[in-house]
Amino acid sequence: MQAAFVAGARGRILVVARRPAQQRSAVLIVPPFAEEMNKCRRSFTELSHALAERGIATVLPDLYGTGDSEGEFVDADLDVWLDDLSRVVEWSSAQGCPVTALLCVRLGCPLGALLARRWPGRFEQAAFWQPVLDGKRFLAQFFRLRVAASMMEPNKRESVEALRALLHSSGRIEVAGYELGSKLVGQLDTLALDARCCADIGAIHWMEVLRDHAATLPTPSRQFIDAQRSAGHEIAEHTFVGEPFWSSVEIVTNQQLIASTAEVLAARPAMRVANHG
Amino acid sequence: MNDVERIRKILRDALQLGARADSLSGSSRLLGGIPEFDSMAVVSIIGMIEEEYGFVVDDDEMSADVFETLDSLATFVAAKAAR
Repeated sequence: MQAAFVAGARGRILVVARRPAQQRSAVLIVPPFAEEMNKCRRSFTELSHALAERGIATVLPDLYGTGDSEGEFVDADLDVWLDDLSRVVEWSSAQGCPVTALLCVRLGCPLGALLARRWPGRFEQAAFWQPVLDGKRFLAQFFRLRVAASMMEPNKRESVEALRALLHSSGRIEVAGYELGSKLVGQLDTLALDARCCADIGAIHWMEVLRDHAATLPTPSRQFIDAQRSAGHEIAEHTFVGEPFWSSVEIVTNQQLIASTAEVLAARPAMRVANHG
Repeated sequence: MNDVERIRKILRDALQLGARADSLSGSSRLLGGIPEFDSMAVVSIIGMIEEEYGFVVDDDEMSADVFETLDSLATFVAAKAAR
């Protein structure tokens, strides 16, 4: 395992890379948002071991203002995160380990789609874990954390509307220990999983953990996948049964999800000839 | 499956209660009664309920009364689902 600081757009970015001796290429992990990243770290470590056994390196950055990277969360926005992800891709190539696949997790899916827009054809494939399709809805659920916390205190009642008014007047808002700046909130409000990623990325493996065997993919996921398939894009769906690894109270990992991800990312798509010119 | 059973299952999954979920009765206290029942748990549970029932919970509907007991949560859900 190698930890390195990469010069980011506004500060140094911590990147943890796991490189097997006979590496062929690397998978870049595009992290989920805020606390979800902490819930996922163990999954990422386990996945990096599974990929290393198959001769594939893993590159995991802490986004600007998070983890051990420089910067404050309140100063972060999607532009700086995207610029830094691009720099990490370039850094990995310079280390002789080109990123040929992505693992995008939760909010990392729309972020990874924007990254792929910058480099159409660069990534042979991507695994999407529990994709966030709609930034505004995701943000509303994130704000709920503060509303729920206020609910538990006597004589204190907050609403998402009031929080947005507070954000408007002060330019920042603190939710569950994370301070969000108004620029990031504005960008998340209009963020959606860009369907063009299906053309930019060779093949997409859509992976969701469902609560039980009777459950099916949520309607928005179903619609996205069906629409992309009818447009002729390669998008495979994989479902697993288990606890929500990105949000559960105790840290959980889903062994089937991790094993399948390692398997599909290690099998390079045979139908396509990658051109990383 | 009635609403109490469906919500008991959601609580079991969201809070990872395991067999402890089976001992939850309608009058079991949730907020203040289950240590894992924090704000993140509330948000997960509402998300799961929305997904399972296909309605959206407004933020002004989130109150401590709703999360007092398993029965109060089931009553809230049944009323929402009937609308």
